[in-house]
Amino acid sequence: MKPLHIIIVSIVVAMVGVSCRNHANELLNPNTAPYNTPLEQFEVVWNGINNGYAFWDIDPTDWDSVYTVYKPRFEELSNQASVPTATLQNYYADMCSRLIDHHMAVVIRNPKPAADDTITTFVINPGNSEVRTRPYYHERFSDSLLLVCIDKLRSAALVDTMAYCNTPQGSILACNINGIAYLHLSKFMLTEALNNNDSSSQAIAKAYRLFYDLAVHADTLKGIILDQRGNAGGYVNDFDYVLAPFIDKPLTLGTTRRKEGLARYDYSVWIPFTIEPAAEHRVPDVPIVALADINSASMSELTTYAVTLLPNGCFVGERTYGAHGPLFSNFEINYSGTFGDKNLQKTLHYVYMSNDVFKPNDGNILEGKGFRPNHQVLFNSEKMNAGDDVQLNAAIDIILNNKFPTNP
Amino acid sequence: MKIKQIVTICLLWSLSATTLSAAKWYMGFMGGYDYNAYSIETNYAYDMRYKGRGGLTIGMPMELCITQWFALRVDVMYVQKNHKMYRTNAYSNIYTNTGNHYLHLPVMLNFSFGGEKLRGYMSFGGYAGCWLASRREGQTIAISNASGSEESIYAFDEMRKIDNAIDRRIDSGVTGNVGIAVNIDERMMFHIEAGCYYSLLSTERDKTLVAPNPRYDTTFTLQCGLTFAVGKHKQKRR
Repeated sequence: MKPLHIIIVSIVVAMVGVSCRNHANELLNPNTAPYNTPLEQFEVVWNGINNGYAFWDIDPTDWDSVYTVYKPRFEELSNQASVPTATLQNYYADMCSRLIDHHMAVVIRNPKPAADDTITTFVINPGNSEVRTRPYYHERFSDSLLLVCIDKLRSAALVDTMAYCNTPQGSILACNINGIAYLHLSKFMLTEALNNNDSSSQAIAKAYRLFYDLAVHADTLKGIILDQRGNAGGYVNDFDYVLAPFIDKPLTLGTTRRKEGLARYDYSVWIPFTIEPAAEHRVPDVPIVALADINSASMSELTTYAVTLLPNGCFVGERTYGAHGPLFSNFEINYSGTFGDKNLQKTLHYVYMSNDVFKPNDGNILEGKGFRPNHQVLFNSEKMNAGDDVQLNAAIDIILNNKFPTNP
Repeated sequence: MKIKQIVTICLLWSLSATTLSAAKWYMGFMGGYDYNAYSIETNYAYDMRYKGRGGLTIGMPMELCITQWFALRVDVMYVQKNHKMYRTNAYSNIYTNTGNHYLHLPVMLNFSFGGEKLRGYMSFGGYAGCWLASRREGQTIAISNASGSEESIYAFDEMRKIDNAIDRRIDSGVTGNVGIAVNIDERMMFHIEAGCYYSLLSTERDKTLVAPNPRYDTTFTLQCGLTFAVGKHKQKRR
């Protein structure tokens, strides 16, 4: 064989080899992808979730089956002159029904609404749907109901100082319950409020200052109650204000793993999730109780869990919501998580979801399940309406009567 | 288990081959530098880039000379296939250096030309390989309340567990070499060669049937080494 023949054969073999490689589908950025039909919208949403969802390796959903089942259905819809929004809603609800990310919300505007459709936008919230099936589910109780209960304690001379405000940023209630520093936040907005000077921020700062002075400076402190009930989450930096003042060394809650890149199973390493102590801190030698319920989600669940890691911390209340995966506000940090236009102007979809999976120190990922309390006390609507907050009373009882759960 | 099987087969094969046809066999060792070009589609992730990285390759070539110009060559090679993911623009502090360790078993047809002392050669064929281990080192963003920011940099350097449900341990593709062999004496030859392993299997299983995102390694090698005539008979090579 001549060298020329060898070279020709080699080139042919190389060309055959090159042609044997597969190629990825061309993807459109789900933040900007244009579309006109329900099918095109489905493709963008399906791919956006496929590429940006953090839980694929632990999620029970067969996302490929979702595609093969629903693509023909959306094709059929796209061939129609108009599409009933209810049909679209049923499809998306079914597609996402088993996704475990309890932060997830899929907001869709019908691209081809029927003329008689009065509502053309809908929200699918798989986590919320799951939570509502739990036997102990209850709606978030209002601040006014909580204030009635606090007033009852005050009439019994158990509450002396108190501050409350309800602002567009959220509500805060701080008080001294018989030597216990109590703080209730409707959401974690302290980072934002304490760094602003508008009137509502000042009101929040004043209430927080009351709690802080009691918890960090008071000589007669008997305990601390961090009430996370009904708190839907917020800034992770709020750890600076609700937990960092009570630790003197970094507290590692667990690890997080990020969805990173555009393939379904591309993940980052497991990254330690650590809370740093505040510059001014006091490690209390009294019990710290986290109160949480089924409506405690995200940052409030992490705060509750963090309290249970403290030697003098425990969690009283109900199994929490189960939305533990942290979120970034910027899609481009890792090209994962939330995508689409929140205002449904640039895109007719908005998908809100976690960037990361959170794994607690014990290694048991509880996304979609929630943290279980050390001492379970279920919400009692009747008693709450009568001014008796059984969960708060249980927390006070634990602190004042030294009934700290033996297995925190 | 698979790795042990492959190693056992290679050892038995080389042992039996040596025994059966000692005079026509050449064995030796080679080693050198490799550069792995990583191929992956990043689509709209415009500032997420991948680039190849250098590594080490070392192994044992075995050659059965059939005619003066034609031989069958089988190598057992350890090959590093490294690559880097990095970001440009605002997140340029995020990167991951991935180091993958492979065992390769290339089977090639070797064609040689030239004189007695100095011969050129060209070999091509296919290879099978096994992904032995993976390590990754780099920086990413951690969630923390530190420094008044929700984001801080986390540096990592750790073994990456190869997940058999997601990662493809088996590798295969086409391979080829061009090189020069120098006869040092009747039994020993010095080789210097450049080669390429062109993988045809994605390192990730195509579990995502609807939207696969295959990624391939193309590894270029530059190595040198010695081979020795195996057996009692003295025979001029080729």
